[in-house]
Amino acid sequence: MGNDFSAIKGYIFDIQRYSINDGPGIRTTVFLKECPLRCLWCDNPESQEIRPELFYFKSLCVKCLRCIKVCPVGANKITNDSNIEIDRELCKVCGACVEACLDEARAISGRLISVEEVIEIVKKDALFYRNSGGGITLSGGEPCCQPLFAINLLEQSHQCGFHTTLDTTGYAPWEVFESIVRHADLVLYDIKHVDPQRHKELTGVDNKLILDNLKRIILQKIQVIVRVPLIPGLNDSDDNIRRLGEFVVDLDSRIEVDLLPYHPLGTSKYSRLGREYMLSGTVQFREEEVEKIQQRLKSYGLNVVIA
Amino acid sequence: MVELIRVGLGMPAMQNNGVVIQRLTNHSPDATVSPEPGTDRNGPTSLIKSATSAIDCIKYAHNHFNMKFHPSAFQSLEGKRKFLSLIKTYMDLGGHHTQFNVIDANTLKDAQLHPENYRDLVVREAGFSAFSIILEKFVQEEIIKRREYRFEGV
Repeated sequence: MGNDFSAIKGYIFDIQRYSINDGPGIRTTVFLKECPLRCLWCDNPESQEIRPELFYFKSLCVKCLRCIKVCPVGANKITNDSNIEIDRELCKVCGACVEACLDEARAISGRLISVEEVIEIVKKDALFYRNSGGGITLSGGEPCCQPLFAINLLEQSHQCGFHTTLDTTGYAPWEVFESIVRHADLVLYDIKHVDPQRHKELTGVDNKLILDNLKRIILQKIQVIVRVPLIPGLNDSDDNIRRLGEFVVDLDSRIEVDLLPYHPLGTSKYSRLGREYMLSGTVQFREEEVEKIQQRLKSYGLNVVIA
Repeated sequence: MVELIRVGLGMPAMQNNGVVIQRLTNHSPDATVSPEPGTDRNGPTSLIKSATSAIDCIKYAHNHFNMKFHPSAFQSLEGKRKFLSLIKTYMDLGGHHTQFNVIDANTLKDAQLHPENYRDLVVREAGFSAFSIILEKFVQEEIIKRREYRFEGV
């Protein structure tokens, strides 16, 4: 304890205490910034870049124009229909407008924090972890984008006796991935699409590395839950579900598969960041449709859970 | 702990990590250690810790604690277990009386009409929570719809 490594810093955008969907029990989830993927349905668009970003909550804004007065680069403007517009190109995310705003309509997402500081926060709920079988989860973003930070967080958590979970896309060079994964008690591993070409269209990267890394960690007997974000019309085709079932069964039929049906609830974040949401108008699955997919995957002998 | 309580007695309310505990405020007709609305911003685990640090069974009997939950928290067996572990931890930390609210869709509809009254209203989105009033209208609608469906189903 108390070694030099705890001074290592990394960029995070949130620490969510009482997180109950990212591994067993009551957990604290640390969301690391930066991701090599650009999934069309991304729930956490503020996670994609390493740099901090400015959130603007239009519904809380009373248009007092303080932000316009304080901005050193003049990135805030008032439009003809008397709305406030942020020029994201000009904005340096200095935080002056966040300070000035009296209605908490602005916030900066992302900050640099040391391993030690994170562990201090994680420790607060130690008794809850013990009573519920919980612990710490690293999510993001892709935690493997900040390997040194991730490894030290997991290591320090283990030193405190906490169960560790890594929520990952699996998209990282094997050496890097392996060095992080071996500190995780459980890996939540996303498979977004089985077809390489389609995967590239949907997420911006090829899935070869992802599937290869998955095979390798399974060989190392690391506990894995495969998570599939189900997006209507994008990866719910019969063909993809069949190939997914075959692929996972081929690895190990005891692997649990969690289905995460699409929801549009991350959409607010896109407008807060002044970005466009690519999947607007996507209709959510009906319960029966998800159950049908669940049944189909179950027919391969897998344990399939709808999250 | 004793020191903390003494300090608390001299002040209008007790602060712990930004959570303002209701004891001794004018808003607290029922001697609770529940939070002043709007100040519980770090979720149930943080709130439980703040509340238990303010319990006073001797002088003013400020010792009971209110929490509210989304109905979906109780749907699965896993969810119920997590809920029980919250209660267990509350008791481990010295609590002995706690009670719970589950918000219904009407509250959320009212929150759309009068957001100024609902700055502290938390809704569970999907694996994470958000303040209802900062969500976009259609997301609020989505949550209201989903909730009603579930109530009919129960």
